[in-house]
Amino acid sequence: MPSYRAAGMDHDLYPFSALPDRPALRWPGGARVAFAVVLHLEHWELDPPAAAVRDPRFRDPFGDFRPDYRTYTIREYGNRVGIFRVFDALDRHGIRPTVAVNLGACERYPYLIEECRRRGWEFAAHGTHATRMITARLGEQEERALIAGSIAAVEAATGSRPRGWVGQDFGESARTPRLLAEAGLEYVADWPNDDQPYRMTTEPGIVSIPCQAEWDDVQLLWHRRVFTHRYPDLVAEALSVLHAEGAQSGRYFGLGLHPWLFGMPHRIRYLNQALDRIAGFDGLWQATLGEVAGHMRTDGVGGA
Amino acid sequence: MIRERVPYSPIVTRPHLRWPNDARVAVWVVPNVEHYEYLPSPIGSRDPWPRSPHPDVLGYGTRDYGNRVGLWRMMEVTDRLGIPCTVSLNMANWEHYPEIMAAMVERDWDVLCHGVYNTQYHWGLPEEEERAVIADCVETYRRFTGKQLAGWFSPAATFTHNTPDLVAEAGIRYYCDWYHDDQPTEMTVRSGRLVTVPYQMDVNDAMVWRHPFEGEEFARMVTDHFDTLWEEGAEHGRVVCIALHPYIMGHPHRIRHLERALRHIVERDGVWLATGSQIADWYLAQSPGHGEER
Repeated sequence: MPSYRAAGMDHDLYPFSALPDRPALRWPGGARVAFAVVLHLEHWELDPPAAAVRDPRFRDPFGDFRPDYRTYTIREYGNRVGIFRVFDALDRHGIRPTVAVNLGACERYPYLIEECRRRGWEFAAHGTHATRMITARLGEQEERALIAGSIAAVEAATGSRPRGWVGQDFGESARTPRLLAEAGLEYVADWPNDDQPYRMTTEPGIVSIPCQAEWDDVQLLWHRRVFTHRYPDLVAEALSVLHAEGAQSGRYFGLGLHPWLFGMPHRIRYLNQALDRIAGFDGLWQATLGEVAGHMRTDGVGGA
Repeated sequence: MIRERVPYSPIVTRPHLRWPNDARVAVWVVPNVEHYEYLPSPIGSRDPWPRSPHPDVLGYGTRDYGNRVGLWRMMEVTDRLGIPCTVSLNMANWEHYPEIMAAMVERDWDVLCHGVYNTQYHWGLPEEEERAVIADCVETYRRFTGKQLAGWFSPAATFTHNTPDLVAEAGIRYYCDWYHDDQPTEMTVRSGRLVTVPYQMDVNDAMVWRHPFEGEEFARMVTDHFDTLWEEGAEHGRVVCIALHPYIMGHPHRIRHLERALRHIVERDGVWLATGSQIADWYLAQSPGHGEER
């Protein structure tokens, strides 16, 4: 039997914590729910290096063939066309998203960076390319360099250093949280295991902000193929329950959005409908990931 | 190897199966409380995290959500409805999660053994290795509760031709890897007695979740499943199993669909809200035993 068969987790990244056993989490202004939107601004390479790992669920159903014009151009559509529909939806609802931007996007889409920057939106580091997940196959020095390069690219393109990290396809090695913390980042948004942010055990500390993959647009609408017209009801129902629970202890509610997906003409109306429904809730703190992490590091007592 | 584990028996020719108080259906609700390993040791028959070289934070974290958050939301529902659950449990959870075990013991939930970890598969295990894993489960349960393990559902639904014999040999009374009937049936095993209790791999949130269906559709499946069996239960007593995973139905956008479906069941008359052990023991007490039957 494995030696880790003992109290607690089978790794040392965070301790086990049962939701009802935690001290109450208080958000600024007595809000019940912290609400954040993560907008993905990504470059997908036409010719990724042979060693690059991409999420196999994006492969052609008949095999992993190159070149993959199909995926490359769908992603490019998102940044040429779709993203402007998403910008409109966010502007109309007065939402300040956190823009997860990768190195390739910093280089290729300065126009889009400027559109986000002039709106005062926050940027998060998001790896180098959508075609290169971080996995255990990377050596420590390679991974450290990938993280440093991603952060430097965001700082160079936007003029400010990102406060946190959104992993490409939630990809991590076992050392990723530590390397992110050592790089000076305040949060990581890769883990789908909670409805509250919590502190990981890295030194220095880093906050895990849930990615809530169950209603992330790619997971729900692309991989699981749930029809997009269900989306407004699904996310409004999630928020409704989190909002009720938030009377006792604060909850986190985040939406992950990809312009290549929600920016499609047949999908955008459902993003607008979902944001309309969300706007009907009181007691929301519409925050950036950096603001959520900053609160957890200083004021939030709960979240284990 | 015993080839004919359960002789064919058409349900329409059987004598009426009576439940306590002449209930039409025995209903058991089975949350799977599991642990999937962060870095599973290579086991051969299947890769639990095929998405990437391990770890897979998405796969692992999705399951971890059940233990941190989903289970507690689900417990509020079953507490409110007065449902006695039978937990399909990875036995290493006794060691990993004393908080969860205490909450289950406090509610007097029954335990259906679901192997040690949900990332350690039994397909292809040599007989001696499988016997050792089963013995480990029996020992772990006895160490933490002082009791003999009653039921077995192989981890991640992975098994061998020997599994029924080995669990019967270990003193386990009921078995949930077979989906051939709406009533318990006795199995032919090398030694002892073993009864199958109907579990569900169809009315099962984990199976539904792999497809583009959400909480609403699952709730509809649950109530349709129940309604049919309840009607048929006037003639032949039936078993209704609702198989759940806190990492799926414990999510905020699904929990009220689950509550609505379970409320539909508990508000009907003629329902015996039972545990796996209670169903098995009732059946074993009513039935003369396989040998005498033939």
